[in-house]
Amino acid sequence: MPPPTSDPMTDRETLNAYVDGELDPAQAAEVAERISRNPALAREVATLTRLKGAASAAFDTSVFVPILTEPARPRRWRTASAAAAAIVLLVATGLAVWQEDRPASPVWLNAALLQHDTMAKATATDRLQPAALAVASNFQPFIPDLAAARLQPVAAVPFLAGNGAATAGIAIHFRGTRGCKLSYFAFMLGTDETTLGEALALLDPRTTQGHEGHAWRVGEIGYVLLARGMDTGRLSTLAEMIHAASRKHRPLDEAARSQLAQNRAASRPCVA
Amino acid sequence: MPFDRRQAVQELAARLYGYAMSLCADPTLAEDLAQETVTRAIAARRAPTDDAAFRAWAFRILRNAWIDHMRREGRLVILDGDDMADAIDNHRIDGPAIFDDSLVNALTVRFALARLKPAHREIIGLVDVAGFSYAEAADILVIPVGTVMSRLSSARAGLAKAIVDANIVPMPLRARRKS
Repeated sequence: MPPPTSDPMTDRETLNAYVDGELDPAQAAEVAERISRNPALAREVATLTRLKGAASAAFDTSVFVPILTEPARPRRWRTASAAAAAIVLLVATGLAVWQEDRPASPVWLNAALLQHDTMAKATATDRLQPAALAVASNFQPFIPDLAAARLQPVAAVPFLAGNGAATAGIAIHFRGTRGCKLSYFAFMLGTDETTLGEALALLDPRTTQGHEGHAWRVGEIGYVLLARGMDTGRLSTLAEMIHAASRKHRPLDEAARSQLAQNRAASRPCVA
Repeated sequence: MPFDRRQAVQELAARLYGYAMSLCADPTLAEDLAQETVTRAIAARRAPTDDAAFRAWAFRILRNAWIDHMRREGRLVILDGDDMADAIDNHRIDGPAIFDDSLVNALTVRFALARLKPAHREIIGLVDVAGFSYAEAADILVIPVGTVMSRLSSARAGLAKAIVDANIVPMPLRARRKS
């Protein structure tokens, strides 16, 4: 990399301020003049501009819809006897417990849903790319070949299933020929992760925001398969085949590939 | 026209969530932090009544909520001080040698951001994601503008390095075929 500059008008902080529009007009003009004479500076400014733009678009902030109601303030009991009477009444009527009817989603599932939606919206011009991952050495996920199901991988990107690099993984997005969009996730599970078992589990539709999916674990690696609008039977068959192959960590065998092909032929196109 | 706190919070919601995502890289936690901030901001007995002061106040609520969360989780968060400068701080960001524009997408950046130090994620979250000026970011973080400038330039250098370290290679999409 080039060495640090001694010119205060082109040091790194000033160039960042230039990109951010934080310089006064005279300073900005001076920086612009230097940039026009120096291709290396021009490249650096262009890179900073791209970084700023990429960071500003990194998160889909529209997914957050705030609840604007003021929380109920705790009531104050008028007298101690009134409080005691109320407690007795609660115990007597068995109303002490309030249960939420929607189960909480595990962190990895929310992350997978978000990433699936992002990848499903991408078009060819977004140029989704694969990435080699800096993850734990024991992260050797099973990656299925779904060509028999006419599903082609179009992207492989890093996947962060939770807080920190310890939950790093990979997300692979498959597209079919009839509008199907399927995402497959493999990621490291924390040692205290108990929400995934070894058996293939159908994800609770109350937690999947309109998607359908299956999940399981093999050792320390968690797997999730997600789609929206795919024929339920087809998705189930895909999950069963991939689950079985992942446990053996071997490619889908001839019988499985044949079943996937037949299953596709018998299923309806995706509607999402 | 009287200051409408609810309206102000609603207008800030997306930026609060983006800042929270920058801090924690966890959609569920980010939503919880942003919602907690919204709830506290609405319920507070007193709050600033001019837009700029209110924004800074709301973002400080979120920042404190995140620090509290990390403490409850038993994780140390270092958000202050610039003694965290490392080798990248002394280098310039090169242009095409660092990364190609076409290789940067939102997911790559999210992954790279998650690998930065908390203070670097935070300053990018405030300036690039939430769109604050240097002066506003300095007000929220209670640090001088000069520190914002040095921290931000270090953070962007770190982000560029993290993107490069992701070892991204292009894979063209296949053309769709009708069947």
